[in-house]
Amino acid sequence: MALEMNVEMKNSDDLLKVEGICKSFGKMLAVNQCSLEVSKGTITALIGPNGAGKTTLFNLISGFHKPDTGKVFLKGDRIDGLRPDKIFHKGLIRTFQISRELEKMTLLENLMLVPGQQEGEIIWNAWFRPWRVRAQEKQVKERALETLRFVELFHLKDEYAGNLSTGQKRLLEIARTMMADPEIVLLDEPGAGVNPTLMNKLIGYIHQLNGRGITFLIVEHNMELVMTICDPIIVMNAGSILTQGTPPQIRNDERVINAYLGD
Amino acid sequence: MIMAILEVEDLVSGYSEVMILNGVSIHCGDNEIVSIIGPNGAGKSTLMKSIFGLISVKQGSVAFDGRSIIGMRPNQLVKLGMSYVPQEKNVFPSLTVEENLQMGAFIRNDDLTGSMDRVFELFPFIADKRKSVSGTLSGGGRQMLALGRALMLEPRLLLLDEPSAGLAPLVRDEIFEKVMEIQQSGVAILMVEQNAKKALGMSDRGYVLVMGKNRYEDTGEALLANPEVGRLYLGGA
Repeated sequence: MALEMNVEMKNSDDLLKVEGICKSFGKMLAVNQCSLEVSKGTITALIGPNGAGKTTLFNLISGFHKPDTGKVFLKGDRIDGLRPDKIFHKGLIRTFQISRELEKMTLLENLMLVPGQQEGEIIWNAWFRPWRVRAQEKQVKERALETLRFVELFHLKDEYAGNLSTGQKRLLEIARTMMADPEIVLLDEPGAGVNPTLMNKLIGYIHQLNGRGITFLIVEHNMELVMTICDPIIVMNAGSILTQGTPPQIRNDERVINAYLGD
Repeated sequence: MIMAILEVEDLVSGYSEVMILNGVSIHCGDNEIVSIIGPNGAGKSTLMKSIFGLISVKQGSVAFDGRSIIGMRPNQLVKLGMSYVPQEKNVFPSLTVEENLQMGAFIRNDDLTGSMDRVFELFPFIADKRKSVSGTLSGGGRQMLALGRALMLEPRLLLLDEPSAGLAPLVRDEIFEKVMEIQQSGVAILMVEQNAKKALGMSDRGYVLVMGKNRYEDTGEALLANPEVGRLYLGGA
């Protein structure tokens, strides 16, 4: 009884809700009847052995794949089947395992093109109300510069993004995320190929952004990152949700250990 | 003591300024199956690539058959009797099955019929498809072909990087059975595997790698029975 009430209360905070989602590629069932909830204000982790279906689930939530069946809700609105850009404007953004920066643009330009619905995008405004375009552009530029300061890339603002190191690209990705002013961010392996110093920086940024009210859902293999900043942790195995719990619960769960060791 | 065909000592290796392996020591006996397991990012694949001369080694020693092979390139190593099956892109998709096997024997000038027959005998599945373009094979078929290609030089040591990755359980089990058959025919096998249970279950010995270092070393059975091994995957120290 108490448990049921608890579930009821928790549901009211669900920012993201996935219900019975399935996705096959040919004969392969990559995601099988997955349901999960991400509460507002949390840093939720999605972990599991290689091939568990984590990235596919991310693609389904963010609109890069259409689910075969099942529903995805963001703040109570259905978003499954919507295009990624529509989902983006509803406040859900995702990053990729491999950073996709615009190589031939500077860092500043990379950030300035993130906010949507800019005045200059409408040709009428660009021709007949250039002052409005300029005023808004100034605002966006200031925010972009401030964001670059936050991730300590300010000194590289005029550098081409293609010239950054892997670690710096990861920081640029965080910066772009901030420019979008999202409610929830899906991070796909933020720690991949990152050295320990940068890893600590990343953990710090995620913490700070979470403090500003941004919710995170993180796919990550680095257990140090997962166990130190994430709660709850959702575990996937073979396309399904295996269990969910706090870091100590997950760490001591025999089923989770077995999933990692293979069966 | 069994004579070691491969001996790796205090290996330090990585990419540009980031070191992935920080002192790994392993050995593989003549005709042994040895598995390397460990969580993502432990350096398992990097170890394979370092042994096979695909990444330059910063420190430490690697000896094959008692002779240092540090600085040797893969084309030299295959001549010595070492073959490697990478995890991905391990066949030439636009070539036929037969052509792939011929590519595996690119340094040989003699008649390949005998070796090819042995590969087809081991893998009847690809024998039926010898004229097919290998890009049309299933995941399991491709993995069989990759193993077959590596066997064309009749190696004494086979390095396998995650032979079961991305395969359905039934196909995976079949591949593991074939790996055992290959070992029984007299080939030593050093294998990196994601599926620790299966790999340790069929191995003589195993190593658990964590953060580029050896953590545990024991018989496959003993590692399977050690509860600490599982915890390492979840970040337990």
